[in-house]
Amino acid sequence: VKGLAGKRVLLVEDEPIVAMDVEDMLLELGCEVIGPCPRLSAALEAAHFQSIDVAVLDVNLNGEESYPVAQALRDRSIPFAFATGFGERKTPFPEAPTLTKPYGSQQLEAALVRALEGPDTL
Amino acid sequence: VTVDTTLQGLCGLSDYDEAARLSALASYGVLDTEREAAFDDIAEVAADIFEAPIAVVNFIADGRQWFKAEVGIGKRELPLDVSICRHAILQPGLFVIPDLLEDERFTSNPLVDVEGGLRFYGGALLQTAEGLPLGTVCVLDTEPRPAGITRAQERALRTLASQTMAQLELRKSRAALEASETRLRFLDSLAKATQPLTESVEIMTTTARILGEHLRVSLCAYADMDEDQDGFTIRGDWAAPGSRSIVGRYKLADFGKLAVSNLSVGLPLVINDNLQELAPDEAATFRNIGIAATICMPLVKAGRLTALMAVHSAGPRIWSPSELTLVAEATERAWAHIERARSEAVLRETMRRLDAILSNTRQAVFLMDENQHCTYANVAAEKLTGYGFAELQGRPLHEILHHTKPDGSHYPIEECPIDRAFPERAQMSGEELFVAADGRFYPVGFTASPVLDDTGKPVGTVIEARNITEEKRAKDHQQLLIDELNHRSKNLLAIVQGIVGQTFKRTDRTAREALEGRLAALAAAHSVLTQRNWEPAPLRQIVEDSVKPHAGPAAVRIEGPDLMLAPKTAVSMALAFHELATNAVKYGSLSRPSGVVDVRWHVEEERLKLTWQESGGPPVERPASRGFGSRMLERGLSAELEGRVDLEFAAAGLICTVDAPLSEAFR
Repeated sequence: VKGLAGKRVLLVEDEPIVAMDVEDMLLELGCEVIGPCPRLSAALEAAHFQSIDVAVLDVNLNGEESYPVAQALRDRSIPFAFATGFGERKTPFPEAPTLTKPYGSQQLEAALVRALEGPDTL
Repeated sequence: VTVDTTLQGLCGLSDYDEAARLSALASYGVLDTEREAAFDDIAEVAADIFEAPIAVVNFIADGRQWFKAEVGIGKRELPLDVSICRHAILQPGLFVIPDLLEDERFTSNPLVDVEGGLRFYGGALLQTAEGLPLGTVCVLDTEPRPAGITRAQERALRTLASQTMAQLELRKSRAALEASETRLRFLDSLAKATQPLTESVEIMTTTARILGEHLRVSLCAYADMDEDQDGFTIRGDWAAPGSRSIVGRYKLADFGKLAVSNLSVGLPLVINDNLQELAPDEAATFRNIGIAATICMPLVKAGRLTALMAVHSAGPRIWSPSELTLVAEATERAWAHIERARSEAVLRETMRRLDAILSNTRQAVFLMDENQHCTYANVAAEKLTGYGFAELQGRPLHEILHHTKPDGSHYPIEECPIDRAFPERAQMSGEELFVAADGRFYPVGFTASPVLDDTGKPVGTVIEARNITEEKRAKDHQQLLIDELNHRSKNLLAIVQGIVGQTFKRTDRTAREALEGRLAALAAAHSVLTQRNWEPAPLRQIVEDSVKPHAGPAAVRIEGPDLMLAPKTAVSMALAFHELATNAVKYGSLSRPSGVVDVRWHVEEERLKLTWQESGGPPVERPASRGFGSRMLERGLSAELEGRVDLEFAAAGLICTVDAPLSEAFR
């Protein structure tokens, strides 16, 4: 798995079991996991200050939207993908691919690779 | 031996129509009337001038000779066979017989051939302007007058005859004038009495009473004919004291053949004395309801016998033409009035119903004229808009309710779909935002329908509208709940996947991927259903979504008519196709770049016939044991569809066939 090996991936996910599972997937893909961050505050802090290559953001964090985290990442030109249980809902960040829950490691890998390549290559 | 006692029979001569002559005589209405001074004077003057013992003003009627005035006879009529005048009226001008005994036509006449019998006759013809002879003014003497008559006597007799005709004409005009006045008085009183009436039975009863009293008959009744043209119903009648009402239902056929044949073609049935004029069984029908003489006046409208006016007399009676005319006129008027009253009653009832509907519906209803100005608004419309009808009347609704767009800009009427219905002659419906008096917007659902006249030209618009604020709120809320439900079920699937993943902890990567794939297929099917609010989903989309993640667009060819799957069936179908697709990727045609899958279906005799056919893959071998995929297809899907699902491991490529009835699983 060449594309993602060694990448520092911020994982924002409030559901512990899902967070654990996705963390495992990322590790298996050779990534270094930052987080998982289950709350907006922790996620924002990480987004502002951590060294990050790419991020997976659960849209809904305990009833709050994770868009401020996305904005912080965009401000730092860090690519990211959203994960959501809602259908293919539009987000204010059209550049970000969306993963529909539940997703497997193949879909996760594809989404992160797409995020890293940027929208121009789509 | 029968004796022909008609005038023509007696004379054996004719240069005129006897029926026309009798009818002309009847038209003067003089027969059997009282003596009148004007005619008595004529007879007396004639007797004086001729110094004769006998002088008469006489008319030759049907079978008899009748004297309007006479001197020296003492009788008002004589049989025709002894008449001398019947000869007189066969020739123009004067008819003088100096000695009747010397004229072979009269020698055997019993009035002549008798001791002291008639010997001299001098008569002048009474003749109408048309030349029809009616009778004579004549003088008779018991002495013969061999010298005949003088020129002065001749002139006097002619003058007396023309004076008699003048008197007759005068009588006739006076009678006509009186009849006309009577008729006008009658119609006037009829109009005054019926005008204020609005109930059809009242109109019938009142018309019958006024007509009955005027004609001095015993009974008068108005009848409505049934559709079958035989049955008729009397709802309103008038009976003179001593007679009883005949309100009820009858059959025309019971009143005899004459009644049926006359009335059905619009001819009145006129009977002066039914015992004389009708067969005994037909007369009995009349006698049973106390009738001797009758007029049944039919009213034919649009070729159909519509109504009848029956005028009955308990005793025999000779009906006059003017009475017939009067009855016909009263019948026509009563019918017209009743028709008007009935249509007004229908109109009132229709109005009452429409008003009840329009006032009680919660739908706002507006009516617009051809200029798109408001001509009607119901209670709900006033409630919806907050404007009273008086404020809306005569104004374009668009300017009052719909003038501004939510962004504050002007809303031109040309763009308004509600107002398009009129020019486009088509019903329009949709949702718009109306503006309240305080400037706030409220959403409405509307339908605008053009009102077309008989020629199809639009003459107005009916607009229905309702406030859909609550509806929209409820719909939004429902959408929110569905979204939330979807979100939660997806999260739940994610958690399940997480638990399974953590439990196996990388021990079996293949099993984990299979599970992830199945969960993803399940989630995808749920997504489709969620987007459609759990309404039936298209088969094509379910197939595409199950196969697409595993193959390039060229590798799978899908072909089949639109078919909808019930939600539960859609989920089973999605899982089944996921199994087929993953199998194809692992072992079948999709494991080679050149391999393809054809998914085709059609409906045949109310059954779905679907085939999944792989080709271009490696040679197929029958698997040693059945896995989850096979069981899912052959048992799970077949049970769900209540049909057959068969897997054929053909060497060229796997073939899966589905044959299932179009049950509730499909829509």
